[in-house]
Amino acid sequence: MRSTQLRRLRRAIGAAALVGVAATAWLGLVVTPPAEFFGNLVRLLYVHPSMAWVAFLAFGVTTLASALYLWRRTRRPAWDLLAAASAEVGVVFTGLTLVTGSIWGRPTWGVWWTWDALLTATAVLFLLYLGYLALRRVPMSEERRGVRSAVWALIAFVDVPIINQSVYWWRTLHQRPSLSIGPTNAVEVHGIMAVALAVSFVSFTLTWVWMVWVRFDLARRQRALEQLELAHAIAERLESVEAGS
Amino acid sequence: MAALPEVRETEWKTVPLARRTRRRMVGAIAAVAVILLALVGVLAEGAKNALEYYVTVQQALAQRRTLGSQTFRMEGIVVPGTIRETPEGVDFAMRYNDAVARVVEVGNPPELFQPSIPVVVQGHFDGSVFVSDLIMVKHTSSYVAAHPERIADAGGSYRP
Amino acid sequence: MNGYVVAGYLAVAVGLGGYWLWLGLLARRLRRRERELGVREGHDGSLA
Repeated sequence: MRSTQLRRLRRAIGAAALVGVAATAWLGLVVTPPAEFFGNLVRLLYVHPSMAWVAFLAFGVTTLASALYLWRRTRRPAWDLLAAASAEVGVVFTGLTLVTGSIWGRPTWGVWWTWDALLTATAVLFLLYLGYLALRRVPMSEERRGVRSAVWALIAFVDVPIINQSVYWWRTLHQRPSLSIGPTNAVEVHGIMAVALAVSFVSFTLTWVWMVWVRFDLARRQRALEQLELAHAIAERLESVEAGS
Repeated sequence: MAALPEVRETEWKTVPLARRTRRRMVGAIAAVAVILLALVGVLAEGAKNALEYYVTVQQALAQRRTLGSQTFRMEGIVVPGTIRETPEGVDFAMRYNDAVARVVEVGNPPELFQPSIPVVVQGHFDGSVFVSDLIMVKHTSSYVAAHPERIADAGGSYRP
Repeated sequence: MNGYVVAGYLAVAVGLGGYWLWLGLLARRLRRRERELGVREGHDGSLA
């Protein structure tokens, strides 16, 4: 595909994400009914689980790209930049998972925060990837940075299955997932509420795609620019040395 | 040999750049260190609380002697018909299977506190009574419309 | 409407909107630097 076509596709994804998020807000705040037991608080269902899902997806892509970077035969700077872009967006979504969860926890559980296994592991996830981003800011050669951050990313991802299984492995205050695929699990979200939940998952996923794409593109251009600046600086130095001799 | 002074002059130009890199290095490493420290703190807090987040009423009653007046979290279901509001908070019975404990809560129960729901209370035994300073509602993930037949009435002010 | 619900939706709007603004800021800075260095408009910094 040509780059203008790609740019058009990216813009279309961005527009779809924007429409989807607006639709989520409209479905979540206006169309869906209040629930039994939760009342209006059920409306937070349409923003909280989708944040967590996108965060996991983002870190999954970071892990995949990091592995491809670590493997010598597929090592390209692009994998490193993609890993970083996805991790950065993932950190935003993890932060929002924690914030929306806290806002939901206060009126339903009665506390803003509690140290149960799922919440603790999610806080750990946030810090692990924040650390990944901080590590990337330490000045070092491109390849060394790529390898080190890729190794960190692979280790950090271990926390994702731990979070997913935490409600089964330990006793937690957090309930088990509301949507599980498989015949043994009864679907506990019905009708328009399930539609709103699905719309929220799709639109925040599209938002993630668009943000990672834009961030990756910026990082790529940044890298090209740095190389250009380096070339300029070397040329300048050579000129001045030659002029002096 | 005559070229030396000029070369030194171009070297001088790189000094501020190196200083900037060093400052960035120090800042970035400090950021990594702070994050690692926070990570250790969170993991320690998690190890202290999350691994055994609560015991059931049944387990708590069985271990009452060893628990003494130690603070812990206990899980059970609020027994219907036992909730009594007191000036300090609320007084109710909690059960898990056949084991029942009386709970005296000091402080406000959460909004969704009601009979027949699972709760986690935090506190300690005082004799046979569990004195709690925190009730947490352990709800399930069952999201069912309050008025399925009036689904269009979305802005309704239904309160549980 | 419940205050917690509003706060939750607002948090998402602020978080994602804030990141979107940050991306815009990065893009603007980058474009300015590209122009200074005479990089042609819309290049993709190809990483062959």
